[in-house]
Amino acid sequence: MRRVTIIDYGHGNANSIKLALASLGVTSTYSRQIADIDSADFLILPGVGHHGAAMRSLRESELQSALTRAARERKIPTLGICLGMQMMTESSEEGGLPGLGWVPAATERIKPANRKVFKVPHVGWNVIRKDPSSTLLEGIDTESEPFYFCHSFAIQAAAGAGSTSLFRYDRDYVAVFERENIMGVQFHPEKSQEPGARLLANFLRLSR
Amino acid sequence: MYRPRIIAVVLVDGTHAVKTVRFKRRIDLGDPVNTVSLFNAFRVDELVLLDIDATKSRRTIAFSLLADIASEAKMPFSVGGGIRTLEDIREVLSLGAEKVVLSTVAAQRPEFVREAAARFGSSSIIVCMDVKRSFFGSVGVWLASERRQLRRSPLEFARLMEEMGAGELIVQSVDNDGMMTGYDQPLLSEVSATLNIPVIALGGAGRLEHCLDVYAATHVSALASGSLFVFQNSERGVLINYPSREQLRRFVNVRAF
Repeated sequence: MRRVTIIDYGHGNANSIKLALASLGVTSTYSRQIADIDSADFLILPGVGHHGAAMRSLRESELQSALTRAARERKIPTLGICLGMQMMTESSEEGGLPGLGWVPAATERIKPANRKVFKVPHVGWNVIRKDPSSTLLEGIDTESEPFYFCHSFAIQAAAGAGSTSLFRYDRDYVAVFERENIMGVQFHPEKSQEPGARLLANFLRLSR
Repeated sequence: MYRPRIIAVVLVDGTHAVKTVRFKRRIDLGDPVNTVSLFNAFRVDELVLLDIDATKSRRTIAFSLLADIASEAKMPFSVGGGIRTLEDIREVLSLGAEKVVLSTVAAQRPEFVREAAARFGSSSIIVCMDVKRSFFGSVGVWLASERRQLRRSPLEFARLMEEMGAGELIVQSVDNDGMMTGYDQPLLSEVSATLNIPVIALGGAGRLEHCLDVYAATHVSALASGSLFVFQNSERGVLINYPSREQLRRFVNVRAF
């Protein structure tokens, strides 16, 4: 039986994710208990909010070491959504606190050259240029099926071996990174209708 | 951006979905959860749910109703109505809303917008600015719950909200509300050209062409409407509807700039 734990660190919209998973027939646990992280087969780090405030909460909740143990030692599939993805990088300009540092990348404020045309935050449905080796985007025609984005900060480039898919908003940013068992999506798959459901299903098909 | 968002606005008076005309007359639309469920079937881009009596009744939107709507809504949705504290926002977001809409509190205490953005991130905070034209034709920011006009002009208030960290601004025309004869284009043009945050147009849409016209001619990022998606025409026969995918494709590559 697949144990899916959505991390509760006070900054996520876990309810939407729980419901999206339930639509796929998957029961998940929204928890801040270390036992639920230690026993999870899949971890989801949700995120709606402020990076600095979220990293502080994560640290204060003492979940960070359990999270790192599960993701980096046990190497279970771990998905970061929106702010959750940004927390996996090394740093963020939002609040200035270091991130988890699992992926060699930095989160920066979106600063378009043309601010009249490209408003910030980047909110709405946008298309992705799929990396052919992506597992999360498998079976999704990302050029015609957009995903829902809602963010003011983004990742310009992610180093390391693995799949990277980009979206364009004045310039290119990372929409999806996949680094072994560590994955991040800038958009909200739980609110992106069919392509989102497909992505979550692809995630849940992964094994250690 | 691939194309602008076309947003359905659902007004609630506590328990019933309603639609207003010029912020006065109300038409009952029935069960809000059912309305949301119908919008799900139409694959609505985004939903804004506003409890228009909340501030007056000194409460927020009923959390039990919100929980039911959150369980139903497959699309991104924002919630407003009587939200006054950081705890209110935390509760609403934890129930599954992507964003909150602040209206009265933003006008009464702009600093609160800064506090909310710092705690929850700008992209979680939408401010709704209601604009009314006076008898003499001048435009002012209307604070409906106190039935008075603010001293700051709409442009000044809009700039202030952006400065405080609001992620998006809904610019709602009180005069055009429910009239279905078109948006207040001059107002939307001025505000959307000035701000760097997304502006959402609201108030007056009666046909999809109204949305296309405003999108082509201004810098708005999204077109919102209550009437257009809950009435079948200007006779206001209730019929939940939404543009088809072909109709939405009309918004792609429409802008010259």
